[in-house]
Amino acid sequence: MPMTSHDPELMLHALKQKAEEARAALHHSAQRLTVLKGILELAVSKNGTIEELRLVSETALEEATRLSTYFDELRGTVRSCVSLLDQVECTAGGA
Amino acid sequence: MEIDAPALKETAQPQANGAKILVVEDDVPLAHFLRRGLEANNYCVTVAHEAESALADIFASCYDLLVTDLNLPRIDGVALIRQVSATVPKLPILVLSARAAIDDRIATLDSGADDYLVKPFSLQELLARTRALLRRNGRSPRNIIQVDDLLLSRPEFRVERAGKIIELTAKEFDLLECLMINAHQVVSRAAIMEKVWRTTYDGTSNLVDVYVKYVRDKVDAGYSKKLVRTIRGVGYMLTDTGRGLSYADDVA
Repeated sequence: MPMTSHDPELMLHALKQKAEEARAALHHSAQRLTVLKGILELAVSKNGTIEELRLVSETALEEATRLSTYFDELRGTVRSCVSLLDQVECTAGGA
Repeated sequence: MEIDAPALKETAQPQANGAKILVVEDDVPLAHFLRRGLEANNYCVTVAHEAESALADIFASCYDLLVTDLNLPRIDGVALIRQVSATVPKLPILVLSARAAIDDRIATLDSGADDYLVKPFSLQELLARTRALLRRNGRSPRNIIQVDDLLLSRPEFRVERAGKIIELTAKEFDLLECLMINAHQVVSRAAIMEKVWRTTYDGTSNLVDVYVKYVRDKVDAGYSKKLVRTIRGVGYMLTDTGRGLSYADDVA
């Protein structure tokens, strides 16, 4: 979202907030990736039944869906950061 | 340290026969996967979703390894590690964390952790590090447990005392295994109820006492040295004489 103020302190605060959001999204992504990778490793390490494989696929899909959500959050955060940095550059250029 | 939060955990599968591992992870799907992955490799796994119940569990039972996340509600992982290191210094601690920064790893290892694995990790690497920590601490998988002349073999579902086979039912076997794993320590009725029956002790049931009597009748009958002891008002302890806490025999 574009900033209405070019106050450097406000911009810095907004950037810090975005960095924190990015950190949280990365943390959540790592959690989901751990489960996704782990259940697939477990599944390929043994000869499961069709039903067991179906359950693994369902769980993997759930985890992939959660991962997509965090990926979208991260993409939005990066876009906001780019926009903020553009404004910082403009402010610095105009000063 | 006061422990007043309700225990929120999944108890171990009684058929697991490996080293005892406590997993502390608040993310339920991740905790479920860790349990499955470790149990598939014959470890006996208990899961706690927050530090309070993990600490209660560590004090009530005897674990071979603590595997913990850092981001936990209320008491965080580093605080948990500090408390465990101070009170149970021989318990190895493996940290699983999404925090990959060097500073985080150093701070965690300096707080008392023995190893650190960054998420996402490979299950094979987790298993290798688990084996290494158990090996380093001389904790071999508990397929066979021996206390004095009493021997229990989980793979063969066999118990013998002084070479003589003792016939036990499945529940009696699980109960005796629970006492033997925690030999020379008091095991509360609540802990036995959770480990053997996987349910909460309501403070009134005499189920544990009845089964302890069955086990005691089979294990101690005919032997001058009694192994199963009642710790009045607390619980039970399996011990040879002269070790552990002082006790008073009591008819439950």
